[in-house]
Amino acid sequence: MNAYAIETKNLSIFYGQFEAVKDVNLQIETGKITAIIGPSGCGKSTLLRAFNRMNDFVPTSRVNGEILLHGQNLYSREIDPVEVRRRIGMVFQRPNPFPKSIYENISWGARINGFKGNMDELVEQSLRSAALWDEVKDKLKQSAYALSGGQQQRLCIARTIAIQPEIILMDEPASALDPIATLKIEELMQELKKNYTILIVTHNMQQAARVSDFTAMMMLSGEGERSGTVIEFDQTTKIFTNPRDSRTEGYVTGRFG
Amino acid sequence: MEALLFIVGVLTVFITISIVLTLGDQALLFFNDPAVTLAEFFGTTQWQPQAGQFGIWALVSATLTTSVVALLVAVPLGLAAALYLSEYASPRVRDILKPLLEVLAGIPTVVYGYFALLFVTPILRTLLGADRVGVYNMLSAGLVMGIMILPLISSMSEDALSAVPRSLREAAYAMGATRLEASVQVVLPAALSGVGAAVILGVSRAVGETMIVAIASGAGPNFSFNPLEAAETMTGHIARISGGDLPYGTLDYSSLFAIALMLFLVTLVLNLISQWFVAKFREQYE
Amino acid sequence: MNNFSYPEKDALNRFIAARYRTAWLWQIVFLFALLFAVVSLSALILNVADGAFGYVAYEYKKDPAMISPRPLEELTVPELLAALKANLSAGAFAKLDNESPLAGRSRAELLGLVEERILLVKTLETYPLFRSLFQREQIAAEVKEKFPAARLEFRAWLNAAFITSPQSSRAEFAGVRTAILGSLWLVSIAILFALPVGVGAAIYLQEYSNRKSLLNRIIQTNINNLAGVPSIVYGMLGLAIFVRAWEVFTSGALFGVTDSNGRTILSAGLTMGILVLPLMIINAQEAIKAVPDSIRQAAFGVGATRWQTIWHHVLPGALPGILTGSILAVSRAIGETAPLIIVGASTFITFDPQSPFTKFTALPIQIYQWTSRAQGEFHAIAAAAILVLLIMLLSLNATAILLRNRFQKRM
Repeated sequence: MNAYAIETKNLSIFYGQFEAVKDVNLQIETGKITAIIGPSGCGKSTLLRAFNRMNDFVPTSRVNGEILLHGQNLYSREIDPVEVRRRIGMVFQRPNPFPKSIYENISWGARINGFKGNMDELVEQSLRSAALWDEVKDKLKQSAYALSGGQQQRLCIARTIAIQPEIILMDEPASALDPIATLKIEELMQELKKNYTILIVTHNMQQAARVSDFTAMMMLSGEGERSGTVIEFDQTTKIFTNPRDSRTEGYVTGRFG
Repeated sequence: MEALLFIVGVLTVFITISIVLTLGDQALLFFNDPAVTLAEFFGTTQWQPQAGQFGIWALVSATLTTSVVALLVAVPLGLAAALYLSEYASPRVRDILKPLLEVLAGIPTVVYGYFALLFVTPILRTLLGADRVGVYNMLSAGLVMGIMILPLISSMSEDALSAVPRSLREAAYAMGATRLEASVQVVLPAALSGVGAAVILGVSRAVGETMIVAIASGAGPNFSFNPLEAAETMTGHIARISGGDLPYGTLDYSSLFAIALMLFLVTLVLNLISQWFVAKFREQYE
Repeated sequence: MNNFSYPEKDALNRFIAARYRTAWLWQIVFLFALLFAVVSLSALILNVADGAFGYVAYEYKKDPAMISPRPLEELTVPELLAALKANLSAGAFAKLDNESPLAGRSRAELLGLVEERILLVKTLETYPLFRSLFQREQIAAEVKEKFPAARLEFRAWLNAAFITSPQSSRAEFAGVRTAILGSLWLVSIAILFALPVGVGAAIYLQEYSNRKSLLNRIIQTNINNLAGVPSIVYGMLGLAIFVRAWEVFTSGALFGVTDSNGRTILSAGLTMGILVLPLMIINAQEAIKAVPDSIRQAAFGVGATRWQTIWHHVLPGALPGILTGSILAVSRAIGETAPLIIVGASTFITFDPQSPFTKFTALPIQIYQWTSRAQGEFHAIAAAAILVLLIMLLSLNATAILLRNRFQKRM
């Protein structure tokens, strides 16, 4: 076993004939936050969704290469997508709580995954971990839709950590939120990385610089190309202060993108 | 031009008003007759106009029985079909099966009546015994009515299921749900008000359906909730009595309007509830 | 949160496998529900076909040998004419000739007359199609035992004579000609009323009235409610208003027709028109809604009035949708039965309807009446009439689909 939480080897993702993401090699370190940045349309979300096999729902999608979790390929025949998603949780761009009560939003995922234990405790712990407990502890039976956008997003984080994943994927988790709610999510991420490995896609370079330890820079692989790829992957400080690739430098300094 | 268009625009309101007025007018005549009391109408179970007995329950019992049988068929099957079409079927399968359901929905009810009397009833009589099931029975009419309502429930429910945002399905799958768990435990509850609207419209359709029950369920009021018996529904009674040459101005004649008024009010309330559900559902997702 | 209480390793695999089994089981249940609908539809259609064709055991009261030693089917037109003349009373012959000159009738028609009037054919037993196909010998044996004198013949109850013959009290000679004509009259009147009124109302609601106004909301809710009112209630409305209150108008008395009451084609057609009106309005509204706003703005931009904009730009764009909606309304109207019973469609009409002020019958009414009879031969012609109705509906819907596809491509 190696020290990485998850790694990709020569990963390419296709939609039919179209190669959306090309030849990605990443080693994601355990207990760190890794950001994926890059201009829109370069395949950031596609790459992220490969990690929990959400692309499986696009009928024409196909993957070449490997994604290894503890040395096991997520796309091998022995492993089921349901198990992959149990181990690798996901938080989406827009808050998407279930149209159920706050309590059920958390207990549902736990129940379907066979949780055996004290459900009340799990709900409380998850909400505490998501820094939401104090705000909702008196209204657990109320609909999740009654919460504000930022609260909803933290609820989505809470329900994800309730199923005890090893890795949490976040697809621009703060893009639909106001600055204060965004700040809360970012603070929360710093707390969460004590227990979880986090992969975050973001448009917002300041955010990547603020929260992440490592950054992967994605871009279309060349002039006239439609496939995206990772052109540079390093510690975040390096990417933002001393990038090796001139395109990365151009992007992070705001010259294009 | 605008004035003319305005007139045709409000014409529909006049149609509703004239339904209420004409039905109400005759119904009032009926209830004002010394031979009839409201207590008798709503409180007794014999409907024999010749004997001066007007207990609506004799007809309501059959309407209820056939409708319940129909909904027992149409709601679970319609919902299951909708789930399959919206959550499981590939686009190609959907393209084949949906038109078939539309065909089923477009078949005139009189044809369903033929089917009930000459196909379903003989089968029931063979299966359950000719001594227990009559040539006319509520079970056969109810079952076929269920088949008739099934496409309505499945297409409305499917619309509601499809309107549930994809993000909710993704959320469910990302939590490690199987397709069944996502469909039944997340998508279906999210579409519940839309599905509720479909079910209530189905009830309204069942209560107002005439030809199937007129053909297959039996002639003659019979206060019974036993689906194996023959009994006449409210609609079936109106159709049978007015089918003959009924003299105007008699108590028989006005009694039909009293039944029709009840029918109208019941379906109106059901339709309003259904629309309220639809509006609620739209509010949630649009 | 370090106390992992989720299944791991083997337990996890077993757990996931169990969940997949449940999922698979339910998927089959869901599919079964859909298949149930498909099977029901097939059963219904096969059941009708089963009834409309098959063996018939019948006998002649008079021996055909008295007309000719040769089999009836081989007789020529003049021979049949001669047989009719020889065996019918002069008055009866003249009456038939009066209805339509006998010399001008087809061989099949004459043969029918010979069987009906001279030989007095009587149906003893009818057999459904599938038994007729697969148990031929058994049927033959059965007939021989039960009716030694009977003839056995395979008959398509749905045939040319069935379409072209008027009503008859005897199933063997009954046809749906008068019923089809009645249905066509009815539907024409219904559409003549519902199309302009429906489109007008849709234009008012979509183009003129303020969509958020209370009146608009009331009308809209009202239309949705009317669409859900049971058809039998429309029948009661038609009975009270068209048949009774407006009798002077609907019976044609206003126009000098004297031999009629309010139970006419016109009353039934108007009732049907009101019944399909909500459907018509909803469809027309959808069609008008689908015309892009840019077209209206362009027209207003060059100084067109609201009406000019609607007439020259919005309506032509909405036309395919409106036509499709009308066809759907027609197919609804053509199969509706209950309101016709209430407004008093007569069942026994042997003459073609000539004006809106005549009594009439219609296809679904015939189906209802024949289905309600006890004898098998009436069920057989009910099945044949259902086939006629279904074929009409099918062609209407096919037209609607063609229309929709054609215009969709252009847009």
